[in-house]
Formats: sequence, C-alpha cells, structure tokens
Amino acid sequence: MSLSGVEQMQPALEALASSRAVPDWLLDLREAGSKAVLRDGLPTRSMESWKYTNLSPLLEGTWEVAEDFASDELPPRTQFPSWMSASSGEVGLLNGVLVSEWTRVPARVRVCTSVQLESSPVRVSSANGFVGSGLSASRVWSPISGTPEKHIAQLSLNAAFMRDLIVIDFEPGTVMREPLVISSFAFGTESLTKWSAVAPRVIVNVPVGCEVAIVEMAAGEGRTVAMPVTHINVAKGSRVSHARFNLTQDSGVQLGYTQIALARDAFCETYQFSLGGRISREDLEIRLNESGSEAVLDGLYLADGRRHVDHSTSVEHVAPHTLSSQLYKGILNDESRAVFNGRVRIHKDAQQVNAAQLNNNLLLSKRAEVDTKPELEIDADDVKASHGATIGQIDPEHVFYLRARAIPEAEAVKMLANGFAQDIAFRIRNEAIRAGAEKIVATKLGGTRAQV
Amino acid sequence: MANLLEITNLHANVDGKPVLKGLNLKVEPGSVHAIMGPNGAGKSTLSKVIAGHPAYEVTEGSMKFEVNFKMKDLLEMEPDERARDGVFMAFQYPVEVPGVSNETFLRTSFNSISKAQGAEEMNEEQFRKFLQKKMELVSMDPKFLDRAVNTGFSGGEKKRNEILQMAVLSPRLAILDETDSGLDIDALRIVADGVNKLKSPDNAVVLITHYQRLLDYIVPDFVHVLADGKIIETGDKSLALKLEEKGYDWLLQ
Repeated sequence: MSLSGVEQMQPALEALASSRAVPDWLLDLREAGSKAVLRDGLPTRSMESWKYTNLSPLLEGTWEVAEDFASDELPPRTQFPSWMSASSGEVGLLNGVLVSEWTRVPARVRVCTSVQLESSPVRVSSANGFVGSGLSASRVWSPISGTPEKHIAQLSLNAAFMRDLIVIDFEPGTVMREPLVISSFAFGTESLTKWSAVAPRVIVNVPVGCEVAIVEMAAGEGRTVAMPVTHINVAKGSRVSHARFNLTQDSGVQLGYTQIALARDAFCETYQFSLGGRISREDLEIRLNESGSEAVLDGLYLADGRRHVDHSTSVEHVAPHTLSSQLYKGILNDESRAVFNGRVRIHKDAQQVNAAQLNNNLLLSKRAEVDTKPELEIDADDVKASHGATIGQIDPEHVFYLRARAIPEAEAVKMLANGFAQDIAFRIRNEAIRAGAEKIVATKLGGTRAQV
Repeated sequence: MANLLEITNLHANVDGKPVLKGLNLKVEPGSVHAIMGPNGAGKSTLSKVIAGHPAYEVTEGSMKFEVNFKMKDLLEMEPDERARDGVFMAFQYPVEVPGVSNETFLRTSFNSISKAQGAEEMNEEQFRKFLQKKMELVSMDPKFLDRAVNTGFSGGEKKRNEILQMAVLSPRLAILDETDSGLDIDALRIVADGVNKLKSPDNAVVLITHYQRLLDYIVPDFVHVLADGKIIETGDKSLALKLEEKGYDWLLQ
C-alpha cells in the first residue's frame, strides 16, 4: 500500500534537506520530522481524528517548498486588515521566514531566528519531532512540555517543512494590552499541479509578571499548504490574550496547531477565527499544568462554497483547581462542512476542576453539514464538566421581529448571522483584539444570504 | 374623515384552524381603540395578521391601509413594507435577539424607514442624539443601548423597549398587543405616558388588552369586544368599566 502523499511530498523534503543555512539542532529536528512524514504520510480518513476531513486535494500535484524572496522583492500583503495599526508591534513572516522589513517590536520584546539563538532551545522527541523541554538555560526560557503520547500530524509536517524557528520573548513584568501581531503570509504557486508548503514555527515565552496580547494573522495567496505551529508558554501568574485569525484565500489549505501551556495561577484567553481556506484544520491544545490556572478558549468559523473547516481542541487539566471554558460557534452556508471535536481530559488527582464546553452551529443552507463531537475523559472524582452542541437554522420568529421593524428580510438574515457570530467577538476581554475581531467578522459576513 | 385602517370581513387561519371569522374594524386617524375579549378570542391573531406574520393565513376579507391618501392593500405587502409605511406592532412577547445591539437594531430600523420615505439616513452620532430624547420619554437607562436586543431584559424592560421602538419609528398606526400585561403600576405609567406623548391627530393607536387598568391611563375613544373571531360589541370607554365589573358572559349569551 502506498502511503498517502509521500510521493508528492518527497521531492520537496529532499530539496529542503540540502538547505543548510540553519543550526545543526534545527537540521536534526527537520530530519526527525521528515522521517515521520515519510513513515506516516498525510493523515487519512481512516484515522479517528481525521475521520471527517479529507486531505485528498493535497494529493493533486507535487509539493514544493514555498519560494524565498529577496528583501527588495517582497510581495504586497493586501489581505491583512488595517486594524493592525492598533498593535504594539509586528513580527512579519513570509513563507515561514522572518522578514525584517515587516518586523518592528517594542523594547520589551525580543525576537530571534534559529541562527540568532545562543544555543539549542529544543529537544527532538522521536515521536513527533516536537519542540520539547530540556532547553538550555537562557534567561528568558521556560520549558514547554510536549505530549509524546499523542501523534499529531501537523507537528511532524511542520517540523519536516520548517524553514526556520522564531522565538519571541517578552521581558518579565511586561504589561502591554495592545497586541503584538504575528503576521504570517504564505505566497505560493498558481500552478494547478503544485502545492507550496509553508511551515512557520513560533515559540512565544511569556515570563512572570506579564499581561500581554498576541494576535496571529495568517493569510495566503495561491496554492499554499500552510502548516503553522505556535507554542505559547505562560509563566506563573501571567495573563495572555491571544487570537488566531485564518484569512487564507480559498485556494489555500491550512493545517495548524497551537499549544498553550499554563503555569500556576496563569490565565489565558484564546480565540480562533477560521474565516478562510479551502480546507482549514486547527488543533488547539491547552495544558493547565499547575494549580490555579485558567483558560478561556473560544472560536468562530465561517464557511461557504465548498469550504471545509475542522477544529480539534484538547484541554488537559493536569493539575487540580484549574478552569477551562470553551465556546465554538460556526455559520455554514452553501455546501460547506464543519467539524468540531472537543476533547477535555481531567487527569488523575486533578480535583476541583471546572470544565465547560459548548459548540453552536448555524446552518444557512440545507446542503451544509456539521459533525460535532465532545470527548470527556475524567480520571478524577471531584470535578464539574459539561458539554453541549447545537445545530440550528435562523429562527423565523427573529426574522419576523426584525421585519416588523421595517428591516428587509435579506438585511434581517445578515444582522442575525452577524449577531450569532459577533457573540464570540463580544466575549474577548482585550479591547484592541475585540474591536479588530468585530470588524473582521462584520466584513466577512457582509455578503451573507440564507438559502433556507 | 377617511379611515387609516379598514378591515372588512377578515377570516384568518392559524395552523389550518380558523381563528378570525369575519372581523370588521375601522380606525380613524387621531383615535384610540381598545380591543378586549376573553382568552382565545383572536386578539393576538389580529395584531399578527395586521403586522403580516407569515404563519397566519388570511382566507377571506380585506385589510386596507391609507398611504398618501390612497388605500393600499396590506395583504399584498410584506411585513417590512408594512412597517415602512407606518404600521407598528408592539409584541406581546418581544423576541430576544442575541448578538445584535439594541442601538444598531434601532438605527437600522429607523434608517430603513427613512430610506423608504426618501429622507436622509442618520449616522451613528446623529442617531444617538435623537435616541437620547426618545429614551427619556420612556425613562430608559442608556446602558440598554449597548446590550443585545431584549436579551436578558426583564419583562417590564422588554415592554418599555417596544415603546422606545415605537417612539423612534413614529408609526401612523400602532398596535399594542397586551403591552400592559405583566407590568407593575410604575412601569404601566411609564408605558402609558410614552404612548400618550406620541398621540397626534395623524396617527392612531389600537390597544389590545385584558385589563381595564391600562385604560385609566390611556383613554380610548372606542372599546371593542372581540369574541370567537369577530367584534361583537363596540362602545365608548364606559364599556370597558362594564366589562371589568360584569365580565364577558352577558355579551356571549
């Protein structure tokens, strides 16, 4: 049996292996990733965690590593919304590589590429090619623990196609409510027989005494397959507001992974806005590693045409007295399809845990489809855990109420869909992120119409 | 004087079941009508049929509404068209619309009417000023503007929000469907004050109510009794007092 995608990916992996302008430890990491990819291939629907997501479009064409751009030939980034001007700074990536022309960061933030790192920050785990613990003791590092027990395809893929690794360190005690924007632009081939692989890997360290905001913006043009992986480490007592926007064009595919690890009494709110791409799969892993930590993880997905959007969340309550709450909402139109898999695991001895999960879907077309599945694994006995899912259509009584107030039917549907979606934006505690999210969502829903 | 609303021999079904069975009603501009009647008589159906709710099917009769000195057929008009021409129904159970802010809702509604009438639409700033005056009319806290429409509002707040909408839209025909039910006496006074301040020789109010109590505050020119889908008795305000005292049985026999 031939493995899915190996033949298509192999030439690009070989080309990348010969590119050596990175430290040895990165080469090792890439090699481990490459081995895993050649061994396992792309995920297929026979795997439980990929049951509803078909990656066969990625087999239509050979893969290439997305091209390099000289600093004086950078492509225009027209897709990024202007609200980024409300940011505290930007870390700009193009095809997974840091672009200094697009990067400006405040004094309390340090950005390093792999060659700028003093020493190896990584340990290569044989299972995943995972950036793991065992870091050399640089002053701003705190380790991020991996999950070698789980096989995560995006991690291997990212490691295999990684051009560079970017580390962002906040200084301890940084309070910065305007977000630092990490913009990741994928610029790929227009050829219908090719895919351009882009694999940004970013590690963000938020040490003690911080209150910071981070926004990730992903956009792409052309036939790109973006495999962005982000790790965020939140140290004891620190607070992070984080949002990840996927604004990829419909020609692109995104297979992303985000891991956020929280130490004692740390807080994180994280929001995923999956608004673009032909196929979009986002895995989010939250690790509540120490007692008193809390995470809010909400998400919004909007799909139309034949787009496919898949979210897989995994909340690990490792320690007692930890809280998590998640609300994912989606609006599906035309023949689009959404998948939500929400896993909550409460480890043994993680008592006094509270975990809530909800997934609400609004279907604007009879041909749209949603598969939603909660997964609770509870190994402690003194916990509160709840989950729920709804799939519905726009309530005709709501439409009538708006029409009775002179609002035309099409406008009423648009307002109601916007209201359903903005509910997620309204929940964002960080003001700058909330304002930006509201605008992006309203713009995205500007042309909404129901076909029911 | 010409009528604002003329309903003739109106029959309407809900889920295939006849509820209105030959109802006649004429409403002149400047008048206040009260419609009373036992439960299940068809009072709420009447208000929904006038507003154009799609679940109510008119099987016979006509419903005409004066627009620019011409009688237009309401039955031919979509609910939002009716609203743009000046028909307003205050809902008995106002709908909660999560995610849509009250202010955006009011502005969109107001501007839809302005646009239809060829008037200039208001921007956010202009509208907020205009809205402030209207809110004072119904003693409403500005914090309700940022909240989602009716979401988490108490019963009384929802009813007041309906009257606020009425004040903003200045309809020519306002139908208040049991706006008084569930209100304490203070809220009732506020609602009644709001309605009284909006009365003018050009517009008309139809109050659908169970209780005479509201009519102490909004004095009707006509009181109608609706029973079994028809208006069976019409009188002046003294009829309401008689109903309060004697109930409906003497009329139904």
